[in-house]
Amino acid sequence: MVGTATPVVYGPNRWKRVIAIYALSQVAGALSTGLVLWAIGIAVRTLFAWDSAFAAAITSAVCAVGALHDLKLTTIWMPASRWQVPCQWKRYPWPLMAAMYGFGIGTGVLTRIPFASFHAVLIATILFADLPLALGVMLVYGATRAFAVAITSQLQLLISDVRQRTLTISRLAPLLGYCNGIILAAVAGICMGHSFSSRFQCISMF
Amino acid sequence: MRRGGVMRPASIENVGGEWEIELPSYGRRWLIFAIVAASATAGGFALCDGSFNVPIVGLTFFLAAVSGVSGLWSP
Repeated sequence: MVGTATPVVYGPNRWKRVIAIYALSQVAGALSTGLVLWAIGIAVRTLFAWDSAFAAAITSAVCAVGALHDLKLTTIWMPASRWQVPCQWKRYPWPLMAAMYGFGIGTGVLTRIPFASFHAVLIATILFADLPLALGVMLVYGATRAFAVAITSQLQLLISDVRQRTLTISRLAPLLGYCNGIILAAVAGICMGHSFSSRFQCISMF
Repeated sequence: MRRGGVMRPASIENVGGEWEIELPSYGRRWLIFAIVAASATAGGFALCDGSFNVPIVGLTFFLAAVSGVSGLWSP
């Protein structure tokens, strides 16, 4: 989408409309994922009730595994779809094209998940089992993802060579994975410390 | 191939003369992971007051923003 929705392809005015439709659709897709996660959380919680310390421990474990994955310390399989948004969608009228790409990519789970931080978000959102929180978290996800695409496609005005820009983005991937891994390690530690703290307080009450 | 994965240090030869980011070695990455996780565990234990929602919700929103930006690297 970064190579498709650019000011050079659509012109400055239409590009803004394409990006606006794309961003709104992406947020809508993310919110639909939030709705599904909330429903899963409610369903699971009716079967297995959990307390906050358990939720923090599970979140910590997922973040730790994700950190090992993103830092390339172990070859752990992380669940992700292999589906890609079809390039045939470019043949549709541009409002429909932008909406379909935005919604499909915005769900976050239909296409490949590049880094494990999103797995941690999905698990934490399920563990909250709270509708406003699920929608709020996924709203942030969809909005930041759309914002990143908008900024990057705007950069075409500075770097007109599409191949060079795509290469630059792809070469930053290891650095992004490294940063994601460190962030996940920190979050895993905080959640684990929090879980320990909660258990310690429960024990000290007795 | 190094232990545990595909992250080999870049060199000028294997990228055709173009730049590529070189990351810390396998051992250093393990060390960084251990230090960050241990420090954060100590910090989380010391600072958290037993309420799950406030810190974990904040961290989840933060991770959602990180994931959103990282989504740019999804094909």
